[in-house]
Amino acid sequence: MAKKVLVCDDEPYIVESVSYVVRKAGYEAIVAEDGEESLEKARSEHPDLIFLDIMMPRLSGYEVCRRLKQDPATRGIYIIMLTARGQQEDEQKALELGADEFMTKPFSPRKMRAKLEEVLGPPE
Amino acid sequence: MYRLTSIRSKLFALFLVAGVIPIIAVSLISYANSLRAVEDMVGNRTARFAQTVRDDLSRKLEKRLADRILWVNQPVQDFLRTRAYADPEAYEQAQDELLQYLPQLLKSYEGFYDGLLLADLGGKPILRFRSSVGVEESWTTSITRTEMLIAEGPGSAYPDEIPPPPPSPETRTGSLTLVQIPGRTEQPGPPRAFRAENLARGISDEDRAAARLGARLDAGEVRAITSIPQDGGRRTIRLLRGVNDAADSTRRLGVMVADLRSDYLFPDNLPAERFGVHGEILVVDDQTDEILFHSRPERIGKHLRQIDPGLAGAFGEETEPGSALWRETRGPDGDRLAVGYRVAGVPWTVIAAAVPREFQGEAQRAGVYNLLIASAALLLAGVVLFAASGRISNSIKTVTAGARRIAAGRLDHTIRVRTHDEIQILADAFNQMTRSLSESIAMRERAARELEEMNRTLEDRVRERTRALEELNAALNEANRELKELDRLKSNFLATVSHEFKTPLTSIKAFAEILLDETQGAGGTGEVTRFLGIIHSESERLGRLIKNLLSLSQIESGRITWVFSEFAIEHVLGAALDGLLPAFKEKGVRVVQDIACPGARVLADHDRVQEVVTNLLENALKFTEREGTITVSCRATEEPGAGEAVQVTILDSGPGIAPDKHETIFERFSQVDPGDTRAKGGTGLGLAICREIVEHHRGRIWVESDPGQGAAFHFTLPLAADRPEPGGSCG
Repeated sequence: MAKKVLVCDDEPYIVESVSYVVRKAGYEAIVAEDGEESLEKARSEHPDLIFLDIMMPRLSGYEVCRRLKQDPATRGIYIIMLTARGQQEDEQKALELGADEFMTKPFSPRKMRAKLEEVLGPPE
Repeated sequence: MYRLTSIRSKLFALFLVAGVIPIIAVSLISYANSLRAVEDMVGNRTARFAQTVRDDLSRKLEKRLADRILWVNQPVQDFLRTRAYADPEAYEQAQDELLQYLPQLLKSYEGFYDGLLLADLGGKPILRFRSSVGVEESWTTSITRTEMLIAEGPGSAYPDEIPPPPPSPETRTGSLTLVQIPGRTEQPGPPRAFRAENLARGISDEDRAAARLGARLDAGEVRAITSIPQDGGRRTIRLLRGVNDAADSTRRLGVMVADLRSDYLFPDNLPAERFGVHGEILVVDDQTDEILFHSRPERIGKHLRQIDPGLAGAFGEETEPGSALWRETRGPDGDRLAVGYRVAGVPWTVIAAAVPREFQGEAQRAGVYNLLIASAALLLAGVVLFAASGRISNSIKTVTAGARRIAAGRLDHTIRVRTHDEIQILADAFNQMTRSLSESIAMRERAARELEEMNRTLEDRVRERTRALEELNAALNEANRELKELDRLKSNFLATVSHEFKTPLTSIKAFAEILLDETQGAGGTGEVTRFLGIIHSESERLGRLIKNLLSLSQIESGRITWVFSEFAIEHVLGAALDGLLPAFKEKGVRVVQDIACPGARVLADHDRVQEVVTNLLENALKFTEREGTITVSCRATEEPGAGEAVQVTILDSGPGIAPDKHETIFERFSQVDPGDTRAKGGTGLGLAICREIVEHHRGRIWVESDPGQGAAFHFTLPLAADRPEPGGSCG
């Protein structure tokens, strides 16, 4: 079973680019376009890793991260906050909320791929 | 000591000191003086006393005596002489002369003699004068009738021995002629003859006895016979003397018996009262001790020794006629001072006595009166002073009461004092003060009211202003909030803008990279690869630009939050290098690390420092040609004013920077060579950001470079607190 990666971002192009990288790396990509959808998909799809944007409508990435980390069912999911906000406090806040990593945009697809391999291990 | 607390008592004290005491002193002095004066006066009086007795009384007495008895006038002498020499012819002539002289004689005798008897040397009466006075008051009253009896005929001349007893009248030889001399009021008429029996009637036994006695007297001797009471309360004093011949004083011519009026000899106005109440004047016959005259009439005729033995004893001795004797004797009324004057010519003594104590008493009384008067005067003065001082006190009390009332608030009160002195001036001044006070108070009140009014309006105005201010404040707060909001929005804006910019950039870069990898992997045509590469690198540049812009703006505006932590500088260097490793590899640039102080820790903002290092490395990379070398070194240093620090140096082997640009390159948007930099993907912000960050850490950043020699960028950071590092010091 391929490892799943949930990509949460309200920018369709970014979603597409990240999904492409995920798929190109051999993993399964699931998408969500807002915070609530992210929660739903996270709970329903049980991804192994989530790329979580902060600025999302309906529910911010922080909130999603917090809820996911508070929920024992989803606590184990590796969350990488992916955001254009690169301030110190953003990173701090994300890590406090339980995010596992913090990645800024623009991202390097090469690096992302390396990170995927690092966290998820090789794709099946 | 009792303190005088009122004007009245003060004035009284003053009165005592200035008035009473001197007055009493003066009174006492004058009393003492008066006692002395009394003594003097007594002395004076005594002297005058004596003088009076001598001059006023005795000498006058002597004169009268001399006039009336001690001197015999010529016609009488002639009459007696001729009669004595028994010269009938001469005798007749003498008789005629005498008769003619008689009116004058009698006139001159008028008032003095009650009677005059001339006797021959044997003592036989030959001529008799007698005055009968009608109204008797004093010796000056007129004589109404004078009888003169003349014994006719030569008569017998008696020897000087004691004459024989008088013959009876009937046996007398010779004829008597009674001559009646008319009184003053009558016209003189011829003498009339009277019968002899009239002579007998006229010459009494006492007369004869007196004549006989007088015949036996020594020459010049005068004898006084008891004062004889007469009709009407008068008294006469019978004086006898022998008349001697003036030419031959040894030859007796005859006898003169004179009845002198007592009130002529001793006038009633003998001033016994001058000698005081207890004073007395008396004339005493030394031979018979009979009181011939006394200022107390009841004593006349008495014997002095019986009545006043003290005086009698005082003047018992024989004294020279004409001399005054002082005697002090005790009398019934006290010590007496007596003066006795032996009258010349007659064996009389005039005695005047006085009781000095009387005068003393007078003087004492006078002194006492003096004192009493003085005391009364003082008392009166005291009362007056009391009253007057009361007035003064009262006027002062009025002022005081008025002042109190005014002080209590009654500013309309006027102090009324009409004493026309300084107190009134004071009261007037007070009133003036009160008036001006009340005026000024009125003014103050007015001003206070105005102030109150102003206050009220002020309060209103203040309230208005406060409202206005509050509104303004609210507006300001609002504006502030808006500003903050704006600021926040701006901050947000920057963040948002950068975020917004980054969003499409993310896709561009991602897809560019993806495509690049795809084409490179698929051996794509050079142009596609190249163009994709350009898109990729440009998007990266754009990203850097955005990042730098945001970063610089944040740093500049202080909106950045510095997070200081302690970390090893080499970690940052390592992290930065790692981040750029692919770029270095791609350009074939060699990186040399020269960490001279391993383990050196700084207290800094980790990410920002990394940003600095990254920037500098990126610059180095930009300006180093292919196959060049970049050296990253770090060593310890001493920064003046900042203490120990680390100095990081990034050296490239590029073209270098001209010295005139060493400062300007750290400014915003300045580039060494704008065209060149842009071509190399520079933003012109990197060094500015580096400087901001380094200087925020109180470090320094500078460049050492020469054209063609590469460029060495240095920056310093203060070391964290001294801590001995394992590995020793930095070299």
